[in-house]
Amino acid sequence: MVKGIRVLTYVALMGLAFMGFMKVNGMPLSYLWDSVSVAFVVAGWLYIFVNFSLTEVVQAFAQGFGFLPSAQPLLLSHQILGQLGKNGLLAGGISMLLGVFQSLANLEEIAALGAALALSLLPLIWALGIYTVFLQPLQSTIMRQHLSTEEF
Amino acid sequence: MKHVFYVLFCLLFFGFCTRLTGLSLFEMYDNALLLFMGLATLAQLVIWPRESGSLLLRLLRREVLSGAEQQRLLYQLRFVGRTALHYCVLLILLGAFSALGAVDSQRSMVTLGLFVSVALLAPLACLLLQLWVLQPLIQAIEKQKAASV
Repeated sequence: MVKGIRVLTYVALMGLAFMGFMKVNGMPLSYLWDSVSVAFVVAGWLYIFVNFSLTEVVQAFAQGFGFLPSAQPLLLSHQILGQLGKNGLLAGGISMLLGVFQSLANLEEIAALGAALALSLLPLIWALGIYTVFLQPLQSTIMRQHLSTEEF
Repeated sequence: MKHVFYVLFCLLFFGFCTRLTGLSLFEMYDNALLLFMGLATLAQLVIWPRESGSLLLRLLRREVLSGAEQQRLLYQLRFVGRTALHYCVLLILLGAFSALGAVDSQRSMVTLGLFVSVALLAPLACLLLQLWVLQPLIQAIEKQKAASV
């Protein structure tokens, strides 16, 4: 119960931080939504199933939230979450380069260049945001569990 | 107590060096950045493990930690450094998104110039966190580790 409240407070505070940053910069948070960018990042995440099964991925998330502590080795869960984040970042980077390429290929519409370049940054923002805000804390929780069981 | 005075001396000397360049660290702030940093720090404190807090207090009291405790605290501090670095990149991207999104307006060049200067503040805050907080703590743990071998 306490853990749930802590997680909710964390998510709410991070949401407020992003909303505040965008608001002060004169942009509403809704401008960050772009379905194509999110689809690119999800496409990157799907590559996780090349090496890991759905059960392993689900168990990794469960261990990140403190459930099923002995379902699979903790280091494996740590690795799965890290790989998931990195796949997302790679897909975000590729998508950003595609966006920049497309923007620069249409230089005759110079007025739209700024908006097009801004849009091309969105996949990387989504990938990095989800990796930093959600996946890294889960990874850290798993590593702490691992270090507390390891003998020195 | 002498360590507290030494840390204060280091901070003042750093401030003096900045003044020599004609700048002041107090003038280098951005409302959006401060708001984000404040709320994100609060959020990180909410999920900060209680055990790491007590280990940190013991380290600050110059107590010797066991091998396992050193390893856990070291991981937590490196995690904070890594997270700060990622947030720094994220803030630069978000700032670029805001600046480029408004580029077709009249004040586009002013906005872009401002973005470039403000974008440097996030890495500056990240480096200050590393230099003033994380590195001294990591070095203290590594010193303990080396002494116990």
